Amino acid sequence: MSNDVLLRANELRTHFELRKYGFLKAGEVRAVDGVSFTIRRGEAVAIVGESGCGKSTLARTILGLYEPTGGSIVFDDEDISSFDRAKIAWYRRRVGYVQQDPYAALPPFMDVRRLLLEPLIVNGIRNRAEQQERIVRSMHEIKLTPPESFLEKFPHQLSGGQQQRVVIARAKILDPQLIVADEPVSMLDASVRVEVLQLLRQLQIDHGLALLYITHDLSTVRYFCERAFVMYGAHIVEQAPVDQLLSAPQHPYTRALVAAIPDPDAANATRFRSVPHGEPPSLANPPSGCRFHPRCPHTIEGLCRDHEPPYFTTAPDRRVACWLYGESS
Amino acid sequence: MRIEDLKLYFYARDGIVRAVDGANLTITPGRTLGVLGESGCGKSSLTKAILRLLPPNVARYSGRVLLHDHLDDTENPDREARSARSEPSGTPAGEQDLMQLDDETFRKQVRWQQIAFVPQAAMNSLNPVTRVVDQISEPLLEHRHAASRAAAAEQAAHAFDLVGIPRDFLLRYPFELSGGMRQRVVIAMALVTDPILIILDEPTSALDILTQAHIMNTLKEIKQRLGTTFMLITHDVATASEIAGDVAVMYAGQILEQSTAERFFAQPAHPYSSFLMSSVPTLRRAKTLQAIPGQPPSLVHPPAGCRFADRCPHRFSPCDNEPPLFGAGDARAAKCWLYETEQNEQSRTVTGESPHVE
Repeated sequence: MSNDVLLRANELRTHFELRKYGFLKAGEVRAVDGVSFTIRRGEAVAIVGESGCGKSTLARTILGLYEPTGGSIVFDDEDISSFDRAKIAWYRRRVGYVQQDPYAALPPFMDVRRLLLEPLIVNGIRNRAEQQERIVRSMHEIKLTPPESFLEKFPHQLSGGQQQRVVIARAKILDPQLIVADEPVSMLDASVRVEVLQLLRQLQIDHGLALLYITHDLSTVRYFCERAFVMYGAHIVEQAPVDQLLSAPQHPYTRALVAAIPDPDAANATRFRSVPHGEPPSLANPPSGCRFHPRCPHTIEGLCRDHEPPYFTTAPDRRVACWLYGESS
Repeated sequence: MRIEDLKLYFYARDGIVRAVDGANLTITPGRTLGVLGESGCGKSSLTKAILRLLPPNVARYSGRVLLHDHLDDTENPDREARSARSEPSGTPAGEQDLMQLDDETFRKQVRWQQIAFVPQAAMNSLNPVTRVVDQISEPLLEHRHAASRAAAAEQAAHAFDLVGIPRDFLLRYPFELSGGMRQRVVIAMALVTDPILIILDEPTSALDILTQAHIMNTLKEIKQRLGTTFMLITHDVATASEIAGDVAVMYAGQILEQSTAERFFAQPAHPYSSFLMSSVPTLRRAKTLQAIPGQPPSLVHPPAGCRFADRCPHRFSPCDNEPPLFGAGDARAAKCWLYETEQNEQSRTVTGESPHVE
C-alpha cells in the first residue's frame, strides 16, 4: 500500500437487524452496503447524500462506533476491523469526531475546560501543565479568545457557533490524523455556517489533517473539499474531484442533484427544475440491479434492472457506478 | 396587504422580548414575497402576529395589518364589533385593518378564509389518527364552503390534483405518506378554502433536496395557474429565489429591506443584505464566502439606533439614530441612512450615483 493513503475502506457493510416482537428476525436494513474508498493524508473529502442514504452510518462505522457487518477498514496500514480493544483505543486517538448537533454533543453539566480535559484524561495525558497548554492552544485554534473568558462557561452560555467550535476543539485536542465531521453546520445559521466551515478547513490545512465532511448540502462542498463521494441507497455511486463533479456530473443521480439545487437568482422564479420522480429506495428492501434504476431517465433495458453496476474509471481519480459508462457503450 | 409598524413583544424571564418591533411590509396581490432572516430574527413571530396565533405571554401587540377588503358586508353582521385593545384609526376605503377585528371575527372571517398558513415542519402537523381527506375537508365544513361531507371531499380531491398527489391517497392516514407527500397535503389544506394569501413558514427545510425541488415546482405551478399570493418565510436565500417576486430581509425584529427579486439578487441594498448574500455558498460559480462579523443584538435590550450598526462596516454618525425605511413602496426600500441621500436626490432632480454598498 502506498504511504499516501491514510484510510482505506474495502467493501464495507453495516447492516442492522430488524426484529419482530423483539426476537423474531424480520430482515435487515442495509445502511452501508459494499462501500470502498480511500482517503489520502491531509485531504478533505466530502460524502454527499440525502437523508436516509446511509451517510451517517458510514461515518459512525468509520469512527468505530458501529462494528461493520463485513469488509475492512485499514487505517495507516493497520487493519482495525478486527475490533480488539487495544487497537480500537489506538485508532480512536487518531480520529476526531465533530457531531451534527453541538448542543446534544456537549454534556450540559461540564464547563468548556472540563469538556476539553475529558479526552486528555481518557487518553492518559495527566500532566497538569501539558493539559493546560493543550487546552489553551486549542482555544486559540478555534478562535475563542481570550481562553480565560470561555473556559468557565457551560454550553448553554455559548451561542450555537461557539458550541460547535468547542466540539471542534474537543475533536482536535489529541492531534488526530483524521477528523470526521457529520453535518457539522446543519444546525447553524447561514452566516455562522461559513465561519465554522472556514475554521475547520483552516485547521485541516494548517495541521495536514484529513477531513471527512459528511453533508447533504452540495453547495458548500466546493469551498471546503478536494474530492466528493456521492452516496445513494447505501452505495457510493460517484467519486470525483469536486470541481469536476459540479461542472460535469456523470451519474444520473448526481446530475439530478446538481440540477435540483438553486443558486440565488431572481430568474429561478420563472423556470421549473427537472426532477426525477419517486422516492429514495428503502434500505430494508432495496431495488435489484442499480438502486437508482426506478427513477433513472437513462435506464438500459436488460442491464440496469438486474445487474448491479461496478465502478467504471472515467478519468484519473474519477469513478462512477453506472452502466452508461461501461466499456461497451 | 400592507403591514405597518407591527409590534409583538413577549414577557420572558429576563425582560420583554421584542420579537417583532415595528415591521413594515407590502405584499402585492399575485406576487410572492420572500421574507429572509436568520434564526431568532423574529420571522416566525411575524407570522404569528399576522395570523394572531398568540401565546399567552404577549406583552404588546400593536400596529396595523391592512388587507384589501374581500368581505361582503351583508354576510358579516358582527363586522362592526371592534376590539377595545387597538386605538381607532383612519383606514382607507376598500382596506380592512385586521388588528381592529375581535378574536372571534378574526377566527371566523380571516384565518384560513383569507389567510392560510403552512407551518414549519408541516408534515408533522397532521393529525396522525385522521384520514387526510377529513383533515382537508375540515376548514371547508367549518367555514361553510361546502354543503356536505361529500362535497367537501370532492373539493379536497380537486386540491390534491393541484398539488400533484393521486386521488387514491385521500383515504390514507398521514403515516402512510412520505414526508414530501405530507408536505403537499398541508399545502392542499391551505389551498382548499381559496384564500387571498398563503403564508409558508420554511416549507421545505426538513425535506430532501430532490423533494424540495419537487415542492418548489408545485408551488410555482399553483402560482401560475391560480395566481395565488404567497408569503414565503425562510432562512435559505437560494430557496427564496425559487419563487419570490419580492424579497424582504428581516433582522432583529425589523424589516431592513424590501426590494423586487431582480434588484435584490443582483444588488442587495442594505449592508446586512449584502453580507447575507456573500455568506451563501453557490454551486455553479466560485466566489469568496464571507461570514458576518459579530452577533445579532439581544431582542430584550436592542441598541437604540440602527440595529445592525455594531456589525456594519459602513457605520457613520447618523447610525446612532434609528433610520426610517427609505423609499418605502418603491422597487427598493432600505432601512439604512446610506439611502437617505439617494431618496433626497431622487425627489429633488435627476438621480445621481446611488450609494453602492459593495
